[in-house]
Amino acid sequence: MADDGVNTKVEAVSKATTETIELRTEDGGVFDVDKPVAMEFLILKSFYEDEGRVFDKTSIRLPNVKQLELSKVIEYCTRALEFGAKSAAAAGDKDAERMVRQEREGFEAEFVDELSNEMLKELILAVNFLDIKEMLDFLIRSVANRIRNRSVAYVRQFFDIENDFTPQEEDQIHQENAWAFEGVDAD
Amino acid sequence: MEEEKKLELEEAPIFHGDVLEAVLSRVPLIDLVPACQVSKPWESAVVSSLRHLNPIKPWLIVHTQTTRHPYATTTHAYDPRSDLWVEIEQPPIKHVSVLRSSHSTLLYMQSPFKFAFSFDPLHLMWHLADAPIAWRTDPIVALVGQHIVVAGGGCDFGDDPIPMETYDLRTGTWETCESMPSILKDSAASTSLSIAVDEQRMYVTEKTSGMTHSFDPSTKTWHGPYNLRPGTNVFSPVIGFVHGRMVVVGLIGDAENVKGVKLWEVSKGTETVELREVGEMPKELVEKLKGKSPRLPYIAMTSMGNLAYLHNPSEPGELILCEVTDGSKCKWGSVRNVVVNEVNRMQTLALTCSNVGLGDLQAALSSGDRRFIHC
Repeated sequence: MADDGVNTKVEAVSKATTETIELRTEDGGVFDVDKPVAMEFLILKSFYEDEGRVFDKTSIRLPNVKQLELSKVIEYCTRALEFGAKSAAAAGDKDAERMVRQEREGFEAEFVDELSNEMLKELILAVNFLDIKEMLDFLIRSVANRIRNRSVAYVRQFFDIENDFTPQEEDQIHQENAWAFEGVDAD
Repeated sequence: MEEEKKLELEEAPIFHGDVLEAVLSRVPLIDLVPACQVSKPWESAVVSSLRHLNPIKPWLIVHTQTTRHPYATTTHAYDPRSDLWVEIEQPPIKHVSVLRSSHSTLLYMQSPFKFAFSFDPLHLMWHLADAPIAWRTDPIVALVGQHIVVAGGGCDFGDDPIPMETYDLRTGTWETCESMPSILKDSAASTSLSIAVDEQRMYVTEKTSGMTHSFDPSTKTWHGPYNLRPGTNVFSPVIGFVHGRMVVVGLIGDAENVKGVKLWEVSKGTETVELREVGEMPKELVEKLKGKSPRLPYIAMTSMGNLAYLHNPSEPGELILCEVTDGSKCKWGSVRNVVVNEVNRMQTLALTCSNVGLGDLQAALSSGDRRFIHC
């Protein structure tokens, strides 16, 4: 074929080991991230694809992300891609689908259990910045679960929020909602 | 030396705006009450999240009442917005007689001496009136605008037709009015009639024939009949209002062999009514509706806003939901009735459906004697 030269070159590239991208965090961490995982970060995807940049061996610095968070993000996204592939492979087989689902739920429960409130908040901010939809959704659900059935004081402390209601406004609210201050999970 | 690429710096990360609203969209309505008190920005975020991300949906409220003294009551509510059951701990409903429900939000108890009723979304307020002039068993009871309507039902004393009565909420008095269509006279409302209500009228469908009459309490006149039976292979039609329109839900086949359940929209012309099939219940949900019994003689419906809740009164363990959205599209689902278990056979079940908002929850909590407990 006339295109022989091009074809063999393409083939050679795809047979090579997965491309990686080097990411640097603001606190000095350096990570070699597999390209499929890195492309889950829409901020990176649009940086390369939308703007037609070529993948090369240069490093990208992520100004808003620390190494602890990035390692957690990479862990979650790598597993999420694996589950996606397993799910696709199990399509049509109800039992297999259920097994993948349960495995995923088990991983997610363990993943979020190990996160302190502080870490959970930092992760949300990082994932929001990196624009990773699936992980953001998961973290948002996890935060919502942590503030269910909690007192107003707990929520304020969790998010580090200042109460900007005046004492009179608060009194009025307190009278109207006696329950919100009692009968909730202990702080 | 490797060139370092740097991504554009976003604005300083704070927990607000889109992310906060997304978190709040996952928080159950009952927990949004304290969320509103965290700070003023949170109060706006709650309102915005409810408006744009995950709006309020009508609650199904399941009331039980034991059939023996002290006639203890329980109240559980299902919030479809968060797929969550809550138990409402509150002072017991003072016993007048058997607790019953009619159309969506009306709860009532009628004894020979007293008539008690409640129609606010969380049933915080009970109204106590004298009983209607005539005593009857299992009558049609409905709330239309400012009037309670009581009609039909059975009576042990002779064959004379019992007059219909209406109670005016504003004056607190009962009035009798024109007799009702004979087809409805001896029917037991709870099993053979289906009742729906809009702002002006009460609609009553006789389940065997599908013949429907409507009553306007402000003019005290009956209208109809309209035939709301979608076909001869359809039985036990029940009516309600969903997405602003009257709908009919009917069983296909017969009680021993139900082949399916469908939903039709009713459009009323000047002389006739037209029924348009809009949805069919998925087979696995029909099986859930049947429960353990192979027979399904009739179903009941309660509805509000865009949601209809269907159940089998003989096997109320599963509740089937149908959400009708724009373009008359049906979205079906089911939820296990948290109240039903083996222990609770000796109790009456009454179901209501209401638009519960943050204000209603705040009002419920302000009394101090109510708690909402996640189930």
